Amino acid sequence: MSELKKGHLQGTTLYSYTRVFHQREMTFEELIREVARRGQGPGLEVIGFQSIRNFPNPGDEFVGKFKDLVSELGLIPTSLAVNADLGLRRDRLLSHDEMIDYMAAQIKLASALGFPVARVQISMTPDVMEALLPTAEKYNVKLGLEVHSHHSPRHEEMQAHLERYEKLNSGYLGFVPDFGATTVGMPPSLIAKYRRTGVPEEMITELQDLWQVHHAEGAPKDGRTQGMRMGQVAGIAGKYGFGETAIDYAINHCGLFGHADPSEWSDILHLVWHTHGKFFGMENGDEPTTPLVDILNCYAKAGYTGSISSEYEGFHWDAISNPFDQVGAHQKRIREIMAGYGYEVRTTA
Amino acid sequence: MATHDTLLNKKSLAATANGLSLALTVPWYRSLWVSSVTSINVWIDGVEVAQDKLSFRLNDQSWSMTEVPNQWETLWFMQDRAYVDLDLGKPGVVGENHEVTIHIEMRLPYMQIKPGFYLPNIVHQVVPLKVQA
Repeated sequence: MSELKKGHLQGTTLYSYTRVFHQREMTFEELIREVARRGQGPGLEVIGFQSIRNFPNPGDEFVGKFKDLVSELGLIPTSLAVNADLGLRRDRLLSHDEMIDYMAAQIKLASALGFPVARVQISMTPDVMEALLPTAEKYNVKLGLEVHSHHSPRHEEMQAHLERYEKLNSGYLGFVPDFGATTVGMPPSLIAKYRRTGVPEEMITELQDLWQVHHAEGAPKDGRTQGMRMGQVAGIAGKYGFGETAIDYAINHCGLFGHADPSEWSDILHLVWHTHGKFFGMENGDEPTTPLVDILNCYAKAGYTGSISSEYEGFHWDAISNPFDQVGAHQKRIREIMAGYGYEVRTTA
Repeated sequence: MATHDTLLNKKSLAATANGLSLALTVPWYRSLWVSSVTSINVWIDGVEVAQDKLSFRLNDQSWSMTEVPNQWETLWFMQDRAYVDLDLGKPGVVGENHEVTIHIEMRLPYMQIKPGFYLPNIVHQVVPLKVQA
């Protein structure tokens, strides 16, 4: 067998273990130590507003302790997820300048903590991203716009970002793909939860059939299509007497399990340094919802050497599975697939 | 969606000098500004507690429900508990059992779906709880 080439950096995000943190079963430090103990790094991603008290101003002592901790454990900070809380006031939206300041404080902290990438979300327009470029350069932090279901690389909003980033060619503006944008079905663990909580079999069948209709049509390329689809899901929920929680069904159905073809990732991988390896639940060593073989084929072809966080999201409806076991199984599957493509995933700092 | 079942736990209901309090975990995967709370309604054994008898308390600060949506400088951290204090006009009795219904509506300040409309996060729970000391 020929020698394997050096591949991407394995990693995880503390988002995978949200329930553990929510329930105060572990502190921030204990979570990070458990990630290291289980060998689920070295890449470590953190959501600022989840894990860090007084974010984005936690103080110098916190910054020093974090840097010492990751150094001691041989972990590598990969991405700090930041948020654009445009609507934090009730009386008005934040102004353009206020939003720039709001984001700059988070980017500055990402830099101080040693994160090379700050993950931002679609509420950022190409203009705001361009306005943040001097901040990104000043603090040497790349900005990665998350491509999360229902969006996909070929959605009109992402196309506008792509055009701008290529024009600016800064090396600081790019994307964070989320594998949930390219799925092949609704997760078995979610269907099991529906059954456990008394959702009628007929309704489950209707939801799954509708998902297949949307899948055949493909990922929505504009907001109107997405809104119409959410309305269809809510209609089914309402018909079976679940009107009060119809929005939750619609968000799950249309907001988490995207319809884009995995090959779309190839359009943007030249502007990707970090990736959300989103998954919803491992079953018998494989992930039934996100087609890893097809997705990672794009990464192998691109010679991707950035980082991938295994990002477990099944905890939203599955309070039983151990998230650490889930992440471990996902990372193992990714290593196997990448080895098949001739790459050795990097698992040490 | 979301960890809605985390809003209350078995120890959430406690006695106070003039009634009861409910300890809440932010029902989302990240900390949110207090201004993200749109409304909270509480029923004890099927009887709704009047809005002017509710207050929202977090880290030594307390607000009436009408003031809550304006608190955009205070963060409700993931591992902190917020308390809804219920003024019932008499001390709570430790050890009593009550059926607690809570309905909380939030909006996610970073998820504007269309101008002026944010993705809502609505949690409705009905749980039997024993009053803690």
